[in-house]
Amino acid sequence: MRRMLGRTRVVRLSTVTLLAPALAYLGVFFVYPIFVTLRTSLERTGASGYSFDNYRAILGSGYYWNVIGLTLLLAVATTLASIVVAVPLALVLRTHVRGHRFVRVLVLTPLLILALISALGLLIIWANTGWANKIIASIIGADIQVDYTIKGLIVFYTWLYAPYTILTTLSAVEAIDPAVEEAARVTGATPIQVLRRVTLPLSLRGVRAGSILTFLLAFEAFSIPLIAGGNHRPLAVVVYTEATVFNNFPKGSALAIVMAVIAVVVLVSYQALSTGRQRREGRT
Amino acid sequence: MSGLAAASRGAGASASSESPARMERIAHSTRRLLVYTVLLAFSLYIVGPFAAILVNAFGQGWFGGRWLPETWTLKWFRFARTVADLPTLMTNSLTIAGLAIAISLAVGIPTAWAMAKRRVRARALLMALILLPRMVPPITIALGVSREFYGFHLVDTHLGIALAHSILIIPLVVLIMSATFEGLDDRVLEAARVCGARWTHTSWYVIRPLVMPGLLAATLFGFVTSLNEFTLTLLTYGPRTVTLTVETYVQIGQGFTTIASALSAILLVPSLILLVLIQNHIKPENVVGGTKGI
Repeated sequence: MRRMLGRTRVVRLSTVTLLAPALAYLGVFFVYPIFVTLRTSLERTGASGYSFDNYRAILGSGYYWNVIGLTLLLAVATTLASIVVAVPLALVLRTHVRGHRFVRVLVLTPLLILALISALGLLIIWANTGWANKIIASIIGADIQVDYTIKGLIVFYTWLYAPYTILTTLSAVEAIDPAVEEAARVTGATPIQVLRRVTLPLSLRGVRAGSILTFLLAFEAFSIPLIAGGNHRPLAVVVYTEATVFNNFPKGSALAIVMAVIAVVVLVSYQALSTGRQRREGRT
Repeated sequence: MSGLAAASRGAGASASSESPARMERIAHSTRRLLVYTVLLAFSLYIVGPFAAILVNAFGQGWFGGRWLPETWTLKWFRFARTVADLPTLMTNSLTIAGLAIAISLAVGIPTAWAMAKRRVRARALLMALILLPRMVPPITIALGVSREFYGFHLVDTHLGIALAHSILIIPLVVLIMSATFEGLDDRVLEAARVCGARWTHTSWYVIRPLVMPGLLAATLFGFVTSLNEFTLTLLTYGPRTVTLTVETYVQIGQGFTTIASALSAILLVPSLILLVLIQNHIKPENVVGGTKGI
């Protein structure tokens, strides 16, 4: 078919011509800016020439290691919390109970709303006199501080980034052939065994795919910690303050490069692990 | 929560296999109760912040642990219009979004067509490259972009900000449009050709209606992405190009959460419209990779 179309008289642009605009755009507005950030990170403050001074300063300082540690802690905690929300919700939504459509729409809302707005709303309901805090206080009988704490950031991040885990988990759970679970049930497995041995292992692929997105987003989060972090400043915020508030573009850039390297390393190792897993699963 | 779900399933099944019908009914209603508790809790958890923003935007005297404000008012919207100069903010945001979509569609659609309909060497690698801007931390791109733009005098221009937004919208357009073009049956195009249609006619009368839903989705996603983009805007805006997003941030930073809530309430509208549309027209799972926000 492709060959037949190829022989037609119609004017056909070559594939390279079709790809050229996007590649040029990527080059000018993505690769080049990254290169600029990289070059800036090698500049020396108050001196000419290039050096690794900024990187040495960052990696040699306990402060920046704490920042990186905090960022990773927030990302891992958010990923885990998102799985805890996603799995039961996906199992419930799969049954198509009444109202499931409405909840499916709700799952999407955090993806399409400006993070800043969400952060503002979350700050209001989790304030000491906010709705969420009042409800929790009436249950456990004690006030808790959520806004501007690490705990609060995890709650906010999870609100914002769990939908990625939920959506992929849901699509994996819904792809499970009911016959497989039925077979396990018929052969005498208890419902808990079916859940543990059949349903959950089969939804793992979806959980993994969503988790990597949730992790990366939490790792790169900027606007939420900027307004809701208080004294807890993860990488993106420190990069921004370093570059704009302290006007130290070189150091901010170096930190931004460190951040990008961590993100890309995580992503690439995930890809390598999952293709390796697919190959193994494919063989069996 | 997972424990509860498991327990409810356990209760349901042991009842069904070894107990009389009454037990089964009780187990059934317990399970229903748990299911709806999960759904209700999740709904409240998601809706809460939006409700709070709306109440804050329309309320006055919401202090001291009250459940609702003392009185209702439109004052904050009036402040937003006068103090924060809402018409200018909207013009800026819409101009930038319009430009960004035009650029992104013009650049992204040819690539999407090539990815879907042509034999492209190292396809997977190329797609990964195109999606890379959505994986690298936005702040890393933004720092470089702001420096580059100072050189090109693109800072504080609508075009400059639109160009910056397009970095994140083009991958989205390629993702959505290549999926759309893949769904296009080669035989239909062939049929049009056999019937003597020119390429221009084929693209207008055959391809355009078939890809319209995808095109609409890409446009809307691009629009909302541009409207909501924060990091790149923050590092390229200037006094003449303050957007709704930036102004919301400024108002929050200065502690005027009520005006910020009013601005947020306005920003919510296009996102909610998009939400309803995509639920009816496209599968959300397919665009998860592309909807990565800020």
